Amino acid sequence: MRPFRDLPIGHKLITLSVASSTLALVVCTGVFLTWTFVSLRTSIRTDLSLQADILADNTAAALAFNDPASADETVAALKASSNVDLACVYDLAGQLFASYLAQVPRLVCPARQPESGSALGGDVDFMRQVVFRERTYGTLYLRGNFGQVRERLAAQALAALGAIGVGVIAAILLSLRTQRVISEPIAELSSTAARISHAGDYSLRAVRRTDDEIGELVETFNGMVEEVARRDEQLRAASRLKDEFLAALSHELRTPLNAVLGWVQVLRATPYDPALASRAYASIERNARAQTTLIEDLLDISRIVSGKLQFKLETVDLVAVIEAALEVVRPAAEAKKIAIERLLPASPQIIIGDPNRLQQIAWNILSNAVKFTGAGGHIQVNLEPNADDIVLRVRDDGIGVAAEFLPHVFDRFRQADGSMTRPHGGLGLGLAIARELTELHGGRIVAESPGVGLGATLTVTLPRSATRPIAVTSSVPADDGRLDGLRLLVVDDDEDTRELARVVLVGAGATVMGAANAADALNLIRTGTVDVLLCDLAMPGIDGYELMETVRSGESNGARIPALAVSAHAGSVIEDRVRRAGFDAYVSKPYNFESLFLAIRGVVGKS
Amino acid sequence: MKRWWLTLALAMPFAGWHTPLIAQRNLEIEVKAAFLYNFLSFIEWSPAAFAKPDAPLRACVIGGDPFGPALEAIVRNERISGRPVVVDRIKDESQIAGCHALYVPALDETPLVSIMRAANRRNLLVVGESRRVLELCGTIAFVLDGERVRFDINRSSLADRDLKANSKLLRVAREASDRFGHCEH
Repeated sequence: MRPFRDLPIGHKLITLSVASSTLALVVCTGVFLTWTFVSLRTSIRTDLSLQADILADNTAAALAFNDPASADETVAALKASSNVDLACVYDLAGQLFASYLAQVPRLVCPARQPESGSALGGDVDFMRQVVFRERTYGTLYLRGNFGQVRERLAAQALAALGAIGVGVIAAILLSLRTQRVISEPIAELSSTAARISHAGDYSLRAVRRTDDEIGELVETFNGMVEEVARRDEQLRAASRLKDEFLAALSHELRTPLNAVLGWVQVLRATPYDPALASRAYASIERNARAQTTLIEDLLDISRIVSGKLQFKLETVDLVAVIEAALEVVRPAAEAKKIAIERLLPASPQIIIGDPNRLQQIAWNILSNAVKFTGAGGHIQVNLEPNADDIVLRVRDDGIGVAAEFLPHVFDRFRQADGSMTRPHGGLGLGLAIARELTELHGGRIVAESPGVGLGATLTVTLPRSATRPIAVTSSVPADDGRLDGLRLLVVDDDEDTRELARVVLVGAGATVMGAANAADALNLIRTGTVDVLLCDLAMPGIDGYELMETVRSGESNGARIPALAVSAHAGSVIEDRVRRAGFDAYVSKPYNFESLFLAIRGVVGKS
Repeated sequence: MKRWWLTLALAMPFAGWHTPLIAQRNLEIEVKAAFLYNFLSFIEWSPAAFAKPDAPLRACVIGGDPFGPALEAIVRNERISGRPVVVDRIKDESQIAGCHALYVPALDETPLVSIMRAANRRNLLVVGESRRVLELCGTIAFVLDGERVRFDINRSSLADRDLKANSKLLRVAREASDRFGHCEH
């Protein structure tokens, strides 16, 4: 037999209902029977008491005038009362004067007056003085029984039992029907939940039939199922996006490599032809840079998302920044014969920001505009200075954005066409990065487009944090790219890298020594013939940090070698560590040579 | 308490010194005395018969005195409805003024009639020894039923004398009716 709490709800309800009805009936009947019992007894007692009083009154004369016959006659009237067992009248001497006996075997009045009525036995007894006009003539004893009560009570108890039986049956029948009101909605909800769970079909909903807690539960349940369905869909969509992204990523990464490898093979296979070689170099360089940019973008997004992107806030001339960005996209625009119209203020426009990142924003937007504008198209670049902010507006007459895609234009990895045959490459990161960077500067970026084929306008609003004009140095210093007379030590465990660096640096007029490990490097440094140290950080054994620390700790006053750290890893965490180890600057691989020369000159200039 | 003793006395036969007849005769007197007193309880006089609420009830015995001290003994210190009971012995009918109850012993016709004529002019209870008393508008008459003392009641007499008898008294009487004869005033 299962415990009560494990019974089906319907059974529980019926059981509870019937149990409480039965209890109520039993209690009710018990109370009623008890009350009947008590009140019957009381009424019999009252009746007999009255009879005793009347008899006492009526036998006075018989006693006074010594007429036992009359007394017998009077007392005989008790025959009508079935509650009386016997009545005994005694004179003043205590002698039995008259009596009435009901048909109770072996029951007689004692010849002498008893002490008290209880001596007569019976269920109830009375004793009365026979008094008339303040004179006592004798004593009356009356003995009664409650037999009537027992009979009546037995009859009533039987009837009550029958009534209880009928009541219980009625309760069962009623609750069989009415329990459905509660149990059916619950069962329905339960089975719907089971169906949804088993089939994984989140389009099903439970039906709300009642306006009570179950109805609320149904609503809540449906809400939860909808939430599950929604998240399920979101997961699928995200998964689809991820798949699309991975496919695009794979393609984007491989394509440049294809070009590079392809041209290398061509160069190997073909006898030296300057024109071919030139084309080859250009293509190889372009593709390598493109891949670098791709990877930088990915890293940027990753850093932004994990909150690890760091800014260097400076006063920046936004005009200069935009002009620099325009310079970068110029070749691509010229190749497509796209005209770029500049509407820039003549004077410098100062804002507080990270110059590199601001340029990145501008370049991303411009590059996007160039990419999506057809040949012979037109791009307008507009910089509007206001009191509190500056607005950069880039308008193009390219393929535009469809209205339903417009809200998603800045989403990561989202492109209007995610298929493999899409005409424009890339990973859809450019605008996402632009938005993140803008917002990190406290600004806003908005995309507008009348529709497909009708061009688009991107508007970036950046707040000025300071308005005082100060003497601004251009963020892109002039450089003549020469390192004449400098003796450089290149420390890198990779021979190709060392060789490449040597060729480049010698080409710029420097003298280059190479070391494959920290020990060789230290030896060379001790010879005192090194002006600048170029050190790869990631080396097996003693790494760049350790080498630097060792060099610095071995240096005495004034003989400080300018040192540059070079690493394929990037990030400001590296920069901090690099400075702490003792380096003066940091260059990340792959570097372009102008910035490398600049950095070398920078550290030489400082020391 | 006195009553109880009397009843005990009544219940005990006077064996030994008296002949059965004399014993019986004494017993009869005792019983009659007791009954007489009881009549006073079971009869109601109108309030006008009494000067004050606590004025005594006068029970008069005319002519001979068959009761002796028995009657006094019974009534001493007893009260009926709050009234003391006084027993008066009177010689003749001229003294019946002021009596509430009158006991008339067995007498010949002439003296009986004379007494009754006097008695009938007043509202007093008349208790006698013969049916003749009742015919002459007496109220109660003792009667011997075998060895038992019983009595008859003339109901017309009650009505005429402005007396009320308790119904129980009427029931206990051997005969209580108004067939005995009308009363004339």
